[in-house]
Amino acid sequence: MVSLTEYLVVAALLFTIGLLIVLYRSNAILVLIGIELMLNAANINFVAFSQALGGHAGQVFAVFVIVAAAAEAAVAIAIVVLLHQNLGTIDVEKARYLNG
Amino acid sequence: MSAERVAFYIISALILGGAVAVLFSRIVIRAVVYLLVSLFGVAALYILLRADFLAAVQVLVYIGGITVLMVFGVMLTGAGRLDAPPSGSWKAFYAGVSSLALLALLGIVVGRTTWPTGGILPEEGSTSILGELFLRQHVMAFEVASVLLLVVLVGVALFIRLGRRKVAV
Repeated sequence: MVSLTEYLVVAALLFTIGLLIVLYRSNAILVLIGIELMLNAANINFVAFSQALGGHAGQVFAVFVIVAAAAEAAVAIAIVVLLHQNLGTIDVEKARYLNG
Repeated sequence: MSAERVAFYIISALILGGAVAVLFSRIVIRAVVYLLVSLFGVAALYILLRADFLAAVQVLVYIGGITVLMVFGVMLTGAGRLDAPPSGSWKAFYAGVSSLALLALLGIVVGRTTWPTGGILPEEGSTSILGELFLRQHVMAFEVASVLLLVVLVGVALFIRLGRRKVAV
């Protein structure tokens, strides 16, 4: 049987790669992908703890995290499309003056 | 080595390989496909953890919804062309150092803590239990989540309209 620690190690690695994508890439859609990977790493932790502790509360929480992630992705894609319409680029380095 | 362990290693390699491929991909639409591989791996990991309902939700929402949304985003912004990672070495340096510091911190925490090793595996599927939990104990959070989705739906539509009018003026 796979132990809880191994799931936590995989989730930690996935979170680190997600953080690296967010910090390193400058394309707004890739930054969004990095955020989704980090949320998935958190979800793996929730489900692994839920299974190790013998309850189902972690799975309930993971479903709410997925709901929040879907809402966040919808808003973020809208922002990216508007950014492209206003600036002509979705490079987050170039979007420096967003105060209207 | 049991079959479960072999499956775990293959799935983990799929998840982490997909994530690393996103990090180094030069074409954005390919990065979305690599994300899809990674998300499928996470769904498989849920099945390994006996969370079958969550695996189905993962496939429906993430792979069926968010990935398609991102493909739409790539198409609408014309970002499918070559997108080279920044050549400025300082950004890569800072990003790598901070990420490795976080990884070291997480490694220390995971390694030093004594985690529970219960692992009570339920025989039946988790869907009926989760349905009961959603409609009894967590019904308030369930309703708040549905209100959140409604607000996001209306808000995004409004947001796009207002932003477009500003461009036209």
